[in-house]
Amino acid sequence: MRVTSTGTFASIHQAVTDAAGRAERARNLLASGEKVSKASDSPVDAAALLRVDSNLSAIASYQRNIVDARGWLNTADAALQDAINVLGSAGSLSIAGANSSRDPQQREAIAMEIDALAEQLSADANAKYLGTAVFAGHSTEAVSYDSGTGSWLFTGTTGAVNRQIDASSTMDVSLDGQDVFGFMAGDDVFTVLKDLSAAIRAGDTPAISAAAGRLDARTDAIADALETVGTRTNAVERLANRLDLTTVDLSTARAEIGEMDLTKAVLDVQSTQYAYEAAVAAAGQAGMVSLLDFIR
Amino acid sequence: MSFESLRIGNSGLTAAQKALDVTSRNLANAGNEVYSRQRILLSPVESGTGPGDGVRVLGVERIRDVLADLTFRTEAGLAQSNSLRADALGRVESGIGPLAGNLPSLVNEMFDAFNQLSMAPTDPAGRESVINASSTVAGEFNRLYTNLEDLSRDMQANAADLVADLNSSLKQVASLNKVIAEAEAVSVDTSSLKDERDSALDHLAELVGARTQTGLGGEMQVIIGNYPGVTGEIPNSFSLSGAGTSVDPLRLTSSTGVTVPVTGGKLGGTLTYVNSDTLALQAELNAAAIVVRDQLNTAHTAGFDLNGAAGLNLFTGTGAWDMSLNAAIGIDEVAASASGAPGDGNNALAISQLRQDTSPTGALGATQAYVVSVGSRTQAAARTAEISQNVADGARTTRREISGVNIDEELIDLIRYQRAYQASAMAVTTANEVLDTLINRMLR
Repeated sequence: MRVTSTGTFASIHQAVTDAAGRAERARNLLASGEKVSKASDSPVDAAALLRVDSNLSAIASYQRNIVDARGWLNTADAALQDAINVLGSAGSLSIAGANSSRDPQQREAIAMEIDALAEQLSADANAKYLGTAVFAGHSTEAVSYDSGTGSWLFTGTTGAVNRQIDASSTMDVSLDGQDVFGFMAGDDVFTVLKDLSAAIRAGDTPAISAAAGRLDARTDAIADALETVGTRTNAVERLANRLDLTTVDLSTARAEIGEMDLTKAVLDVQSTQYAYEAAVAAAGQAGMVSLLDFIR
Repeated sequence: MSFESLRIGNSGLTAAQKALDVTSRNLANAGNEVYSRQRILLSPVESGTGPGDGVRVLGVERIRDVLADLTFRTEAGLAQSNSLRADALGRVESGIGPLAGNLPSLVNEMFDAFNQLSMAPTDPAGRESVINASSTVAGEFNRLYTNLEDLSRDMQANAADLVADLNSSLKQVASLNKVIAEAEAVSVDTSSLKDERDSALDHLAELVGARTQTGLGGEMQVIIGNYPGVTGEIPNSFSLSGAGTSVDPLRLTSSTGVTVPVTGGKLGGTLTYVNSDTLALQAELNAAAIVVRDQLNTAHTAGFDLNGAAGLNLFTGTGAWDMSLNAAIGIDEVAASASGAPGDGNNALAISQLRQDTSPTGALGATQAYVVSVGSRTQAAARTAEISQNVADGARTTRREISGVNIDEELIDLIRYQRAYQASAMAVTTANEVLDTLINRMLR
């Protein structure tokens, strides 16, 4: 091999440039902390990262949905608890009203109290989460008072309010008010209360006890609905936990694929820096000695 | 013994001086990349009767290896072609943006917006954000497509410069062929002209992957993709034609209208990128845009808008370049409802569920596939470029080993010829003294 001066200096130039480039890359990797910052760094890893990222973003949206589902279910839960209390009060009042020793004035007072309970119940039936009625399906109001007939009407639009709580499952977070409050059964709780107050006003004991019986049936239906809400809440919480775990798993996977092993990165920076220094030192030595130094 | 010795001594002095000239020239060009080292060719002078008549300078030889030249030019042409293509693809990839935050993540955000809307289907802000997210996706397709187009246009403009350079380099080689032939006819040293010509030929190889052939008269013939570029002293001129489309690819055309196939050199890389990579990437991007458009349109038209009217197409357009949000879609026209009731968000939910379709026929899968495809194309091109660059560097090193100047070697020659000069001078002095003895002393 002939060693020529253009060759020597060209290869020194190449060696120093290469070493500087490798050192620069190692420093960039350490600084960015990302092993795969563009797809061409490693197409296979990039594809995996894109998949993991879109899964993570999907899970983030499921988690937002779960927050919303929880809000719906909690609102329904509170409303139904209150409805049961209301009906319980109405039950006690019916017993008080059935007492034949009451005078009409007292009966009127009890009847008015029951009418007030119906009002309170209508507020429960129209309970809203973020401005949307939770028992009205796709409508904004579940029940409304028709002054013409003097009774409450179901004004909801039956339909599922689905929330995506997992990749594979959606949950209907609404309850059909028509069902819960007895409109479907043809004997809604408002009519029952109305009949009850009318019977108490009239002092019609058999009618009072008949209405009290119907009231129990309605209370049972609401208790059933409450149980449904409880079951759904449990399911939501279970899924929320699972999603948290999945997020951790996916983030770990993401780190393994896309992020730099810190120890390795630091070592790489060190070793490429040494290599660069060695190349520069070699460049400094090259051409320092020639035959010129020995002839005169 | 006669005056012969003086003449022989003189020939030695002349030869040594000439040799020192050559050595000095080598040393002076020790750092010159295009210079080929030279060697003096000496020969003893025959005489009919005696032991010879001294030394004669036959000429100056330029040390050059044809095979090394050919290898270097072939490899350099490939290396230039590949690295230009890799650079262009790298620019396409940077145009896509960082891995976190490019097209697929915008599609994700669009699905997020639909998901959010499903929870509050009548909320104008939610509807607005669906519209914004969707039109951002369409806009990103437009931007990526325009990027590809712009880059292809830049490359085509650059190709025109390359062709201009090609034509002037061909002229240069042809005129050097002529000058060298004329100089050689009158025995003038042509070494530096040949260095100049070789450097022009290297440049041609890097431009278009031109091959070279030595003609019968020592002239260099240039061949570009089987088509003559320089024949003897006559250069051909070339031009670019074509629009860089699949029906009318960009190509190099000779003055007689023949298409010249070019795969090597910067021009070859440009043509490959413009005619094959750009078109393939544009087709892939269009395909992805159509998948997104069709999937979203099908899902959107399945629903009903705020007023209970059937959903319209979400996107219009025939590909990535003209994809846009349907102009008829306003806040009310987002089809969130599956039943027609305004409070129903089930269609928005159904649309957001499309995110789970990561197959190539799903919006997310198709856009991810595009990003990965650009990445693997870029990576493959960069690897090829690196390999061919290494091979070309190797060939260049080989050539330097043959034609480059080694200073130590030249210094030794310097001493050698200095000594030869001193020796010849001594021979002349001695002959002079001998003659002095003969003429002045013996006759007295």
